[in-house]
Amino acid sequence: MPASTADSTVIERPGQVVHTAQPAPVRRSKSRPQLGAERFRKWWTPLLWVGPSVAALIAFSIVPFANTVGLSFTDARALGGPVRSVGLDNYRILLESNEFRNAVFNSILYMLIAVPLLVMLPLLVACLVNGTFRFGGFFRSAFYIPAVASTVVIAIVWQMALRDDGPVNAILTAVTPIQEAVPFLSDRWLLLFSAIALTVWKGIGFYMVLYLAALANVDETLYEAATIDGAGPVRRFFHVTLPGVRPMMYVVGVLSAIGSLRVFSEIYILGGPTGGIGGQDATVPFYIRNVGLAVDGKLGLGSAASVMLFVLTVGFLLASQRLGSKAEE
Amino acid sequence: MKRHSSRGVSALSCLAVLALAGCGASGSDPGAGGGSASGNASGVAAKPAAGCKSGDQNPTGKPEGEITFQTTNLKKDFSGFFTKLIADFEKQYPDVKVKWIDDPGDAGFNSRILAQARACDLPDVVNVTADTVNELNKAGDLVDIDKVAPDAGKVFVPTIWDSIKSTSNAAHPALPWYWGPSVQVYNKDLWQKAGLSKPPTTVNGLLDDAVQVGKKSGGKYYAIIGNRDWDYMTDWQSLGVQLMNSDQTKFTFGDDSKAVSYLDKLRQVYQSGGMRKDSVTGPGDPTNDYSAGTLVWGSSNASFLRYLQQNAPKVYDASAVAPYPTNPDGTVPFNGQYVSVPTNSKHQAAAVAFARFLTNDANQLAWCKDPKVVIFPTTSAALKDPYFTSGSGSGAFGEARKIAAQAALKAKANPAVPYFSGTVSTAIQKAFQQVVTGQKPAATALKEAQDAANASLDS
Repeated sequence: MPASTADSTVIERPGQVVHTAQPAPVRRSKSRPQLGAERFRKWWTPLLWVGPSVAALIAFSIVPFANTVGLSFTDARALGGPVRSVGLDNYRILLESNEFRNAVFNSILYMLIAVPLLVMLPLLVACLVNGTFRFGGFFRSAFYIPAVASTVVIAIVWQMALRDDGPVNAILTAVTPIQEAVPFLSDRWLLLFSAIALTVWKGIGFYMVLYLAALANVDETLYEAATIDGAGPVRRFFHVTLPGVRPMMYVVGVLSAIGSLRVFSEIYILGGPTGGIGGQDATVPFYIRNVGLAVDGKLGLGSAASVMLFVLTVGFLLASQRLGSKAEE
Repeated sequence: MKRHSSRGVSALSCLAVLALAGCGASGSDPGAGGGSASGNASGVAAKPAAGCKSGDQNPTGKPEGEITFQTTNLKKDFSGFFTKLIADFEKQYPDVKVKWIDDPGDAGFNSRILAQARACDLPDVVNVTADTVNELNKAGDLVDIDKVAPDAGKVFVPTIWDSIKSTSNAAHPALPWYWGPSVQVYNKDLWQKAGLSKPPTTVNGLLDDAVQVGKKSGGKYYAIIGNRDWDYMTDWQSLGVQLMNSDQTKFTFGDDSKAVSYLDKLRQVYQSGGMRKDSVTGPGDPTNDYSAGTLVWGSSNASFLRYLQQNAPKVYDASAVAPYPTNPDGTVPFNGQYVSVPTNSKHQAAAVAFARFLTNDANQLAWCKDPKVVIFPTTSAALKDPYFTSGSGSGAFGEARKIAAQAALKAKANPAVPYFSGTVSTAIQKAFQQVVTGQKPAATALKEAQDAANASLDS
């Protein structure tokens, strides 16, 4: 072993430093030439790696977010003009607005229905297509296709299918006692549920892939032990699979909840630019778009609605995190 | 455990910030929220109060410098035409260089224009619509053409030029460019099946006929689509509805019994089966339904016949055209494309010269003759060209061109129309839907829409 240094750092061989029980600053002779990767190991090297991402995050997320918060206390218009501070007026207007309250209700309802389905259905599908079996690859790819396709394209296809004179109604009126077309696109609730169904259908493939990755990490011996103990497929699912993928279920829940609160395209294409008859199916992003992003838009009010949506999302995430922690305890 | 929790909370908060504060409308996250409008209403900083500073201290000087010309979704089909036009201009003005850019004209167009305007970074010559002209002019962002080129309006149809003068600052903030007057396009076969005899000459007559179609069709075909976004403004002008007060400071349509009666008639059409029920919230463009042979009245824009001729020849053969009901004074509503020069331009003289060159008689006529397009010019001489007066082209297409060109010579812009966009338009659409489906009485819904529209003016 090479010589030990006074600060208890041992040089195993040139270029390698091993800390002993008493860590201390590494001192190297300035005259000694640095070899191999050590030449690039400067204090600022990590900054080079994270710098671009941090800069992009600051420029495209943090600054616009701060700007939105600032604008939410003003009467800024989309095309400029004088900007005055209005204090909390925009927030008061939002809280008094039936339209905004309806949008919040729709967003929360959307989330409450879509999230459980998006947490459970992809898991069931993942369990079905997991492992090696004939055409397994085909089924995994087939379920994933909707995740690859554009939401807009899919929504247009659904819109054509669900029209009063579309194929779904043609089948329903032909093979069921239903006489008149079911108003999937013009009824307040049917439109919302159709949009949720679209979201869930599109999301199954994506979240299935996440679950497949999680399932691959569940110890096979647990299944074997459970089988030896007499557990059937259902018991194995509840007592081995579910605990094994629980962290992923939480991730899927969070991602799908954020997605549900941001939903826009599905409602826009199925329910038109007003968001259903008289805007009754509009979600919060829909409201933001209508009041803030039009050519005569009220940027201040739209920004306040954006902040409210942010608070709603973070509030939900904190609540679910708290519930998750309690369940673990 | 606590440490773990706080880390989780931080991570989730960051995730939420990323999800909501980002400006992108990419909607890349699959499943829930596959497409988002963006959770952020703003992505740009606030602009100075009194519009952009003039970028050129000598706007009436010699045209020179490099200018940027922005069109909307024209490069794909008309690259050859505009490249030649720019080359001709540069030959005539050797000290000017024109850089042509083309906005895709998609749903993000308004956001991009707004961002450019707020940053005082609009292109030197920009193609915009009436509502954008109105808002940019109110913000003091557009050059008054009258001040830099007092004779610029001479080539245009006098009623068009006079009527597009801004009522707020008596300026001409834009030059009128191409457009398409409304015509009635109808399916003769369905028309006869419904027992109709001759094309209606009034809006009320058209809606009465639509009710009759609904009663006779038995749900096999329809008269019109339920979303009236494309036509209601023309219809209201034709009915003589008082859209706003004279100085455009208040909306008044909700107090006009003619508007109320129009909505009541639309509800009768809906109840009779004259419109497909879910078309009330569907697209405003009837092209697909008409092309499928299930609609009596097609788009009121003549350019739609070109699409029909190429994609649904049987329906095209069954189509006929007739003049659209005119305004009470015999004029027809002008609602076209405009070309503006923003005040932030550093080469305003060159930009105005190019805008005038683009909209002059010869260049407008040349573009109208392009076989890939069905548009109409705003200059008097071009509209009197035999290409329009003799109804070039065969069948419904040639007839539509003739009828539309005749109507164009009597066109007039209503200064209130540009205010019916954005939030106002959305409020009115919602009112239409509520009335037509029977959720609200017409008078109540229109009054609420009017209040919402006035609130957007007040604040």
